[in-house]
Amino acid sequence: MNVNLSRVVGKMLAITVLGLSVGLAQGKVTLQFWDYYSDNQNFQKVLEDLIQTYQKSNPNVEIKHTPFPFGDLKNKIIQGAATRTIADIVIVDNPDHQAMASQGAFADITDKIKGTDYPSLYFKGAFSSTIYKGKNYGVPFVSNATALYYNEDLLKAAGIAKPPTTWAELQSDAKKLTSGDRYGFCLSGVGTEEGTFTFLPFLWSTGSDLTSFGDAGSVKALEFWNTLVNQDRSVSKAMVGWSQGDVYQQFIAQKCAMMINGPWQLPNFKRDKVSFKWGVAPWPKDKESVSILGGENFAIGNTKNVNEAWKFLSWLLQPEHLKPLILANGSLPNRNDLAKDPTWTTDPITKVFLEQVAVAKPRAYGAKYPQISEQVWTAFQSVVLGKQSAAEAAKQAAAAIKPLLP
Amino acid sequence: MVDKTSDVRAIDKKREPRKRIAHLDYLFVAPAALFLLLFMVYPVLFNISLSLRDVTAATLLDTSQNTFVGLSNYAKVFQNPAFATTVINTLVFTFFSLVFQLGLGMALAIFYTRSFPGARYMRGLYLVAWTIPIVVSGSVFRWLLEGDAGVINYLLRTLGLIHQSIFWISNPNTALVSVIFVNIWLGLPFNLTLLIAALQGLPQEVYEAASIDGASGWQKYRFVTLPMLRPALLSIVVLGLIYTFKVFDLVFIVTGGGPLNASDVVSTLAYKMVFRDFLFGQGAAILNLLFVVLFVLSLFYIRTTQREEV
Repeated sequence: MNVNLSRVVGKMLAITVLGLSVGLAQGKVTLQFWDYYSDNQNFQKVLEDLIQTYQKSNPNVEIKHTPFPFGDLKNKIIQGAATRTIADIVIVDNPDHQAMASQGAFADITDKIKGTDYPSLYFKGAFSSTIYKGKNYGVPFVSNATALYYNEDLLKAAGIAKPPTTWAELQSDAKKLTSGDRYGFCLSGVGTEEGTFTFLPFLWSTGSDLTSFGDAGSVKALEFWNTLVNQDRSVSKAMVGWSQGDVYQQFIAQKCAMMINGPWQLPNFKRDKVSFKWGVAPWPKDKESVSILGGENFAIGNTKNVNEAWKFLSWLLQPEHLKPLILANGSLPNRNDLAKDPTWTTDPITKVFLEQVAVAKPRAYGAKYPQISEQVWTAFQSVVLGKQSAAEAAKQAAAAIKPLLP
Repeated sequence: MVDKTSDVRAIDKKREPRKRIAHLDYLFVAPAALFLLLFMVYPVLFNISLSLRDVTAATLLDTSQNTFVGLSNYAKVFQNPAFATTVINTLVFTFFSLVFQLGLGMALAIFYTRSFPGARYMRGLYLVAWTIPIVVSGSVFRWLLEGDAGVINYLLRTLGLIHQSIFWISNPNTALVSVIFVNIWLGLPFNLTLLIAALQGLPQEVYEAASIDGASGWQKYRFVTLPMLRPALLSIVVLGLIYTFKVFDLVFIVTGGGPLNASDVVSTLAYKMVFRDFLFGQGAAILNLLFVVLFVLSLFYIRTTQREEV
């Protein structure tokens, strides 16, 4: 905490300096723009070009754009909200949107949304993640959903004609594909939101949900993970420490034959010159075909430049500006006009992901979702690590989750 | 009469410059005092007030906007089962780290105070490990300790010591042990250097006298080295306690506190409360409790070093 407070003081000084320089620029509005794609050079370039175009037609506006590493932006937003130094436009991970809105980080733009066709233009799941307590706190940017990646060469070698479509097939295929130091299947079970992100589609596929956690479906989902890791040993125990990035590394090193991951890994396959044949299939299902909605939203910071920021954002959201930005991002569109764009519908891989986005559920569980998520990963980690039975873990998590739901 | 006034004047003249010098002294101290007030005292007071309030990010700096909740943040912390786990973990972490850092450090220090070819260079090499940023060495150890492909498992398997992979950092039974192991590796060079300096400062005459009296190597260590080293050892121990008790970066990088809080320490729990769950009040409460412990240790350190100087 002490470290953060000295940062706060530092930031206050920074504001003073910033305030002075803005005053000197005479009437010019400076908008701060934060995103967390610092490792995506292509995105940075496209965004920078768009900003230049906008500044040319709006000489009174200057946009300062700062990229952060993924893990840093959340802290940055919270610090910014606390010290009133939040940027005017922020790209935020959609499951955090409600919690951050509840912390007073973002401006309420309900009035501005009213004059647009956004509510009907955007996919329901994506749009609902920008709403907190009936008020609008942003507009969706991109969506993604996870799916099953498979190593075609390894599947063929094991005599498996097509990727699994049900849990039963997933289980038997994973078993067949496990040999030597190679596992059949890998997925992230780390004790962070990434682990919960991987687990929730298993939960939903049984017909259960976080609101009914502790029911037969939730026990079944937990038991399924237990079977894969401890009985079949077709998933490595190290999965409790794996992030999505670690899972991807295992997959391209051919240490596992199938993985659950998202479309944000697609550019990496090219970068890492993956030589084996691979493909993407929809989530194998228990009862329901379902995936999980990921992606980012735009939010307007709680600053005095809300009007100017909204003007720029509306400009950025025009299809001709948005499309190159989404393409550079590597994720998928989540609005009716761009989702029909042949750029995405003709590619066999992105087509699968687009279909998954359509059946993907959002994590809209209120402002205390970060704490709920912790209960979820505690439950599956206890089961996978043999600390608790699936029934015990489900019961304990259910009791802890109930008071945290809105 | 005349004499008297001149006397008074003389005294005044004598006093005035002294007073001015006294004021000047304060002026010289002022920057340091101001720095301490701004960056040490204010954050501590702020953190105490934070722990007594119900705070969101938007109301963090505006005390008028959030409600005073008394000690309820502290009550919630004590009811949280994760807190007890982290306290125990922190104590275990600190105890074993210090015992091994000091034990091995002492053995190596005695070894390296003897003169043999290359002793100086080898001593210097130990410090290289200490200068590597923790982010780097922590990440490297994360890979070394990995269950399926880690080098440590490979070594143990090749030597025939284990037959099944041990998932060092993803098994709750070994995660804390692994972090302690890395911390011993990290802290050893520093302890070694301090101990060597202390050993070299000991007067040689006492050893010569002991040799003449026919003391054995162990007796020299037990009855000469240890008693003379006591003051230095005490401050090394207390410094190590303070440094180890507030560990954050190493745990955060190697295991992230997981799995299942198995390697969470007090500071990583507080970090998660604040930056993941937005529970500012409870996070502040935990850090205040940690602060009290560290403060008492610091006072103890100051007392021991002062006694040493006397």
